[in-house]
Amino acid sequence: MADHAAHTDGHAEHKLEIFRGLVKFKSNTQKIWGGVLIFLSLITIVEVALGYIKPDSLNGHILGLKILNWIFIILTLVKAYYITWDFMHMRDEVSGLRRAVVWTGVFLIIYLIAILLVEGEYIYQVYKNAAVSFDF
Amino acid sequence: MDTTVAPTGTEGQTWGGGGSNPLKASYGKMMMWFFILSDALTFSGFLAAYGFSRFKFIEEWPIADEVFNHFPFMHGTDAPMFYVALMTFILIGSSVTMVLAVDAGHHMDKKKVSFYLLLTVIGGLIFVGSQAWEWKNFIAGEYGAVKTKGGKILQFTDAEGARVALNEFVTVGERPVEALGNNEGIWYQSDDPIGSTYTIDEVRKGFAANPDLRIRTQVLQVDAETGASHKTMLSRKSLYLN
Repeated sequence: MADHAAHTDGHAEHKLEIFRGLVKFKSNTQKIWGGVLIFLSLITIVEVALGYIKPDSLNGHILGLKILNWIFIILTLVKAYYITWDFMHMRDEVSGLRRAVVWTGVFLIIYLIAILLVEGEYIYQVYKNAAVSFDF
Repeated sequence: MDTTVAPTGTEGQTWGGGGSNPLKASYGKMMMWFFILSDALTFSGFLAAYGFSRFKFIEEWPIADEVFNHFPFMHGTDAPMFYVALMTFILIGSSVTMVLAVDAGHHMDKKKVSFYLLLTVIGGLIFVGSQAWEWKNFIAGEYGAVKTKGGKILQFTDAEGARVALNEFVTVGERPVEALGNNEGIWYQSDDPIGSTYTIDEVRKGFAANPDLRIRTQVLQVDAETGASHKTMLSRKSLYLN
């Protein structure tokens, strides 16, 4: 039981504020409801609303990508950051462990996406311009 | 006290990690981080492969709003992406109940742990069940279309651009088929029920008889005014079908 008591104490020291102290919660349970449920739901509601309305004003392109898609990507990254940092307590780890996990993931995911999307675009051009039937 | 390493009761066990705490994390927690990393990479692989397919078929890809527009118990209602959104919220809800179960576990509250875990399991079952239901609907489809010899898909719409199902304007004609009796047929062979597919002549006749129908191709077009993309509609005059 002593072990379990120490365990409880260790967890009581998780930070109760999020967004660098902008919002502070009274207890861990409140933080779960306020942070996880409300914050993640808010972002998702914005995403769903934008995806449903698809405002014409967001159809312009920045760096070859629709503004609407930029908004989705950025909101998704915000979610991923929040979930990893706070929900999974990544910020309580030492910087070595943080970097080992985050940079490995970031590098490999960007690499994978870049390679596959470039390749996909290339095959699209072949389909479009080559004189072969479509479903060879 | 050191906040990052908590005794886990596995000290001295094989899986206890030998008591050393590299990067101030217990053996179990560090391995959990690396599991999460590898899990993230697995799903990135899936999602990047999806992106690959979409870039490869950027024009042919169906419009998501038209594919995922069903909602359970609301048959015939057009609810684009609502069910997808609902599943996202169910997923968020399950994460919340899971964390609440973990939190209750830290307080050694067995009843609350069981309750929140039960809610998590129910949320998970609803989510997986929803996926199965949605994909079943998606694969079955509801309008039908014509596939050309080159593999392109032609869909039919009314004058306003709303999809029209084949069975709304095509009449099934005679089929030169003979039913085989019990001692002639082979038990593992069967045909589609008559009326489930149409010949191109039947579609052509139905199309000619309905002057309001239009044909939509897969090719994407960008609206010059709004910047929104939509599929190309063919004008009736350009078609030999008339």
